[in-house]
Amino acid sequence: MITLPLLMVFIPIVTAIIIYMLERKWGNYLVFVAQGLMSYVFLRLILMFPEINEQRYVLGNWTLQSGIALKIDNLSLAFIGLSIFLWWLVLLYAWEFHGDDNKFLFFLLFLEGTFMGLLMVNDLFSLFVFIDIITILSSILVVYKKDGWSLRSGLYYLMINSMGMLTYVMGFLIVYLLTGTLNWDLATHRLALLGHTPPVYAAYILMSASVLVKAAVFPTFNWLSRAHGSAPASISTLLSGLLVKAGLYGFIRIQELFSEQLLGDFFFYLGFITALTGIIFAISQKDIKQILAFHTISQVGIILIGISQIQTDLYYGGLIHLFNHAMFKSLLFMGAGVIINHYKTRRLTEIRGVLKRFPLIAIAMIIGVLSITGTPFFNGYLGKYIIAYELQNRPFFGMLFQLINLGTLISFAKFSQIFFPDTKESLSFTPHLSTLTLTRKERFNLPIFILAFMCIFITFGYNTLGDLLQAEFPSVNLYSTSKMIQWSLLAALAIALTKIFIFSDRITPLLHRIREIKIPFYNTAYMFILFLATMLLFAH
Amino acid sequence: MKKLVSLFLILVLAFFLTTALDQGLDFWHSPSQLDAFRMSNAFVQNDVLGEGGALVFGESKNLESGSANIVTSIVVDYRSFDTLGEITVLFLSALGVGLLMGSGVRTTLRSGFILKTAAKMVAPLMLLTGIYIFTHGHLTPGGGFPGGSMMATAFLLHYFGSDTVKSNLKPLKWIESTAGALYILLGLAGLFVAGSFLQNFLPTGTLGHLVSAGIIPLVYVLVGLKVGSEVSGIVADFSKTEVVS
Repeated sequence: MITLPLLMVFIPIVTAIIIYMLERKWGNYLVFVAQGLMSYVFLRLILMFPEINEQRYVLGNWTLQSGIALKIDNLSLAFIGLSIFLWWLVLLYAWEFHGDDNKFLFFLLFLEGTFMGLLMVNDLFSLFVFIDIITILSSILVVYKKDGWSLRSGLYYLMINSMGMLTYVMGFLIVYLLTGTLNWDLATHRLALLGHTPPVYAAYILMSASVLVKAAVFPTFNWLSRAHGSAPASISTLLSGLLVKAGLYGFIRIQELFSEQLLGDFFFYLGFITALTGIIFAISQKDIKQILAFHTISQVGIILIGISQIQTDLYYGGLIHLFNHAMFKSLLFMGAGVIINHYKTRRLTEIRGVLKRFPLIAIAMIIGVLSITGTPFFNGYLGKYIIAYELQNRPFFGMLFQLINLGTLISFAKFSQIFFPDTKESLSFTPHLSTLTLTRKERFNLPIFILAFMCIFITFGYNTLGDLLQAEFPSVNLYSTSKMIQWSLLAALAIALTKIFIFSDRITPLLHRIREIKIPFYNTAYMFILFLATMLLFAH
Repeated sequence: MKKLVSLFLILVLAFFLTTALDQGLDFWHSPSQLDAFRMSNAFVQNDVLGEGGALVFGESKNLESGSANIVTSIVVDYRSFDTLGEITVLFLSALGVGLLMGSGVRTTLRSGFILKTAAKMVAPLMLLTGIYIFTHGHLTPGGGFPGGSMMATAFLLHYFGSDTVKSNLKPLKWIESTAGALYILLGLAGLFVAGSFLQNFLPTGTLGHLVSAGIIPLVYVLVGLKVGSEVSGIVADFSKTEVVS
């Protein structure tokens, strides 16, 4: 019973090694066995959960002070549930393309094990080791296609994330020097006794900056659109739906480590800047995967607005949006994967008639679009509702938040043109379509439908999620008429703006210029230094 | 301009860090001055669980960790899980290199007579030194990582010193996977014999003897083999050139 956390880490890793060494087609079915076992272990954990609030497991029977501890609390348990769920769907989705590729499955399953480790580990250094492994694995999966573009984005991803990890090392070394322990809980306890001294600020700044690089927050967001845009569809799903959250999870943990917000509202502002940057870039894109990738950045900004104020209602708003984002963004990436695979093009202007060709998948994707734009009765509404509700006292930020919503609506109004019927012009780009028949996966794609179901289910069953996170959402009113009217007005405005500006080529040169902004690695590095310096200003 | 600004900012950051750390920390404690609550203190006393007892080289028996080299105790006993993670990092990097470069064609180097002859004599010695370093990791400075790297260097020398390398990489892949799996199995054995994953379940013997310190030498042999085969694999992969068609 006590070894359950350990099983979570080692079931996928050992299975992955077996698959790698077997190199047989039948060996590949072991991934589903491993997934089944993981789900069973998760069920065991969740059943004993309300009584045992925290489970701690110290490896090697050492003391908490010297050994490495694994700990499961409600936050990590919720993340574990989400990860296992998404890994099921990604495996089902990727089976068609990679079912006979044992190396791909090896990397995928290994990634699951290390991600579980990241969620459970309660140690400053082990967290670094797991983030390290996850970064290397993700970049291998990004370059998996081995074409020029994905190779470059993979290396870019690896370099920027390594840069971030270095500041993490500096930060935790300071924490170690201050507290004399690497254990997360003990360090929390001792840091609270130290008060606000300059070394504490230094450690806080360095550690927060590093996890924010991993979460693709402004100014180091640029790796995300490249990596997520060029990876295979199943990997983009995993990267956008889940692995970006590794950074946000680390951010929450670091806020807990230092017990309070040492930089005031800095991350709150940063969330707005990130969201707006993501939106501006997203509106200018023409590649459907790039649009989705930039929207991951903007949604990360919204989540950061929420979780920057820890232990308030705003925090739970951000947290619930994090879970909802995992659902709808995975759904959209999976759908985009099916579409790109069929049309053999990624350009928004060349894809038409999705609704007619794949009616079921298109409906699921429309559900995803409605969710991400925060439509009432779809799950994106919940988080956005709570955040907007908590911003009532700060009218300026409330307005800014509505602007972000408007931007999301505009760019998805643009995205929705893929559902329009075929035109002669669009057919001329994709002449091969008439000869293609739909494969079974394109007609009935189970993972996509499960995600679409979840997008609606969570809206009405949000209390279940709330129980898991030990949060209550008293402010949520699903049937609020004023919100519905507000949303309809925003949507009408967005459609009008899209029609006036985007479909009519009025600002095409501007969009083109934004689209062509390529931030090279050294500029990102400069901005990262600038970012650290800005945080320093807020500290004093 | 950008470079100057960033240089200035880096200097500001460095200044802040050094002054900040200067106020709160003192780097130069001697072990006896260390606060009792610090983990390093417990490590230096080689007595994490607080059972006491003085350490005498060649006489002390049944110590907590049993390794004469405290760094080794930390790396493969107290914090063994991290080491498992670190060799995983190496393993995956090697796989990544193999994935990217493994499809190329091996180039053959032309080497001179002196290099060839010297390589034949020196490479086995280096291999032996590597093995010595990782089998004595619990007694002397060194251990699995430097020992394994030494073995890989021997492989590199062998590669430079011969015109035709008929190296079949299959055994290397096999050694690295098996060593990794055995490390996890050793951890699981600790779980079943002593009750906790990666626990040191063998008797720790006398301090300073070759056969002492429980599973530590075993783990270091596995780490050494794994690191050696992985780095050799990377060397072999890098010696390939991509065929541009």
